Amino acid sequence: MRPGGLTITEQALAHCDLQSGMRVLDVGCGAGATLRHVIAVYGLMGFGVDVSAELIARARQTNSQVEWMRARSESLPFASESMDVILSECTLCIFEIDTALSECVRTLNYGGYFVVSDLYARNENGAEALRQLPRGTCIGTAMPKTQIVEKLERAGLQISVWQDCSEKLKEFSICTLTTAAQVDPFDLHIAAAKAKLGYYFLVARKNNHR
Amino acid sequence: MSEYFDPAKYEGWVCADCNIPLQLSKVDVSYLGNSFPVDLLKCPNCGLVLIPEELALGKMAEVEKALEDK
Repeated sequence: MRPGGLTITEQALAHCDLQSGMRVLDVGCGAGATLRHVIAVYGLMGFGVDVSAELIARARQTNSQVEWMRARSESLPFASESMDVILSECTLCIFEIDTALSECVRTLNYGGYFVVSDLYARNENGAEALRQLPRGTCIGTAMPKTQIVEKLERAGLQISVWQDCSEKLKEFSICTLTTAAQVDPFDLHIAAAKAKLGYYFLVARKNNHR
Repeated sequence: MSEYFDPAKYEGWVCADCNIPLQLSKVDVSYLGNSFPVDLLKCPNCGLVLIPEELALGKMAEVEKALEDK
C-alpha cells in the first residue's frame, strides 16, 4: 500500500524501454503486488526481496514464477550486473540509503533502469521537522530532492526523469505510512506540512561506462 | 494514549442535546483538503464531537497554521 499504487508504477515504466524477458528486481517488494503486475503486463522475469518473512511467504503463495527471497536491500543476494530493472517503491528512505544504492548499482546492468517512487521534502528547510518525529516512521527520513539526486549521482546513476506526484498524497492518509502507533497524528501533520511533504517518481540509469 | 488529549479530564460529560455520555471514538478531522483520523469524544446518538479547548487552541491550531503556510 503506497501513494499512487500501480498508476505511478505504470507512469514510471513508460519511460523505460522494456523488452520481454528482461530481469526486474523489486527491492522491498512486500507481498509482491507490483511484481505480479509487471511480469504479467511486460513479460519480464521477476525477482523480489523483502526483509519481512511474513510478506515473502504471502508473495510466494500468490506467484511461483517470481523468485521471492528474504533479504535486505543493503545486501542483495544477486550477482553483479544481473538485473535490467530495479524497482524501489516507497522504500528508499527506509533503507540505509547509501549502502542500498551501492548494492542496487552493483546488481544493475550497465544502462539498466533504477525506478524509484517515494516521499520527499519539498521544503528543504522544513525537513528538520520530520527528523523530530519518533522512530518507526518512513516520513521521518524523507529527504529533499537535492539530497536524493546527489546520492543517486554519487552512486553512479544518471536521473533521466523526475516527476512530482504529490497530489497522490492527498488521496492517501499519511497516518497509514507510519508503523509507530505512538505517533501523534497532529505532530505528524504539522511536520509534514512544514516540510511540504510530497511524493515523486524518478527513472535513473546506471552510467554506461566501466 | 495520545498526547494531544486526555479523555480522563472529560469523564462524565454528556451530550447536551441527547443527554447521553460521550464516548471516545475515531473521528476524521479535515482542513484544506487534508484529512486524518484522531480519537475524540463523540455523542453515540447524534454524532456531535467535543473538541477540547486546549486541543483547539493548541495542536489543532498549529496544524491549521502549518497547512495554511504550505
